[in-house]
Amino acid sequence: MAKLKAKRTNISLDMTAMCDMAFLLLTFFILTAKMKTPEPANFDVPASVSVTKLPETEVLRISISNDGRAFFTIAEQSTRRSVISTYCNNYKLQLSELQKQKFELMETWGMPSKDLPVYLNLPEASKKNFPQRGIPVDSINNELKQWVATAVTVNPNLRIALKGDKNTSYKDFQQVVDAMRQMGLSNFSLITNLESKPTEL
Amino acid sequence: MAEINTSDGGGKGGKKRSKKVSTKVDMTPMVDLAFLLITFFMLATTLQKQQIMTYRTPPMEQSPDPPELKASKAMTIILGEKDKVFYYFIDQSGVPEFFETDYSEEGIRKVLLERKKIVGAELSVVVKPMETSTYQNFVDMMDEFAITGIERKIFDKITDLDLELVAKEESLEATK
Repeated sequence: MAKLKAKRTNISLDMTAMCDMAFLLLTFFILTAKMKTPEPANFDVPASVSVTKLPETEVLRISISNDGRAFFTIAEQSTRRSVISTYCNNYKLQLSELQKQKFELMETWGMPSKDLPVYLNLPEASKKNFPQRGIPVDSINNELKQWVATAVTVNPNLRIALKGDKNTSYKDFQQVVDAMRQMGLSNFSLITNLESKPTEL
Repeated sequence: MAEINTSDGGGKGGKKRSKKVSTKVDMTPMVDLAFLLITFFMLATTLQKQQIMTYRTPPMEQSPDPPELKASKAMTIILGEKDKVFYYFIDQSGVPEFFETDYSEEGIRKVLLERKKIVGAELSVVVKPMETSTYQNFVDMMDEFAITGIERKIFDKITDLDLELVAKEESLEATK
């Protein structure tokens, strides 16, 4: 009797289809990607049931970190360009052309304006280690007001968005809001994460 | 490798055949690489757009005679430290009834809903956050108003009287 041989099976898989799909997804992610911009502080944003989306353009964002530092963000480079030249004129800040160009590339900044020239002269690599002390909001030297006033004159359509960490104290938040109110700005968008709405009500 | 060659190599004797070259390419490393890149892009990009909540404040300049609130249709909420919430109503005699609660569903939301049922749509809520409360508390409170559908709300500065009431409540708690 002949020995029964176990039939050898070929275990090779055709990977072509999988490969096609993987690259299709890869292409999709590369094309739709918008890189996360590094922020000078960490923000753990509170959640709310609001479903309105934050518009991508014409937003002026003021972020308040949990230790009370205020940061200023303008997304469009063209707006930043007009803001810095107007600010330099109005508040006698001396910046060279090169420094202004460097400023245009910064999406977010949070330091007293006298720190700006020093910060702008730093090489890119060491900028991360620069201690950003936050934009002063106190009543003696309210630079945040100056920045907002400048930005609003440059582009009156700017929407003011406020972003805060969960542990930001209400006092710091109120200080920023009061500064805006003194300028007659009373409409804000608070940036929040999505949270599901309770169903039974 | 993913492919094992099971075909017999050279047969015994016979004609010399030209060697067949397999046209199959092993795709495994390529797939590996593709998935690695996908993972990277998924983690490095911001997919979810952030939401916004509208917050309107009254302008700084107060009108000469602010509209008066009827005590029976108003309630005051104080946001305290360590996620505590206090609220009070003022009755006819002017004595505040003071309570403590929290941000849970059974807490402040229930209070607001009950009060809304009694008073109706004219319910006005004054919120006074203490300086020790956090931004999270503020957003939570705004959220509760959105959920319960209370339109008339205002965030005001805390007064010494309110702080006194809170201190009194807390000392009561401590003695319990």
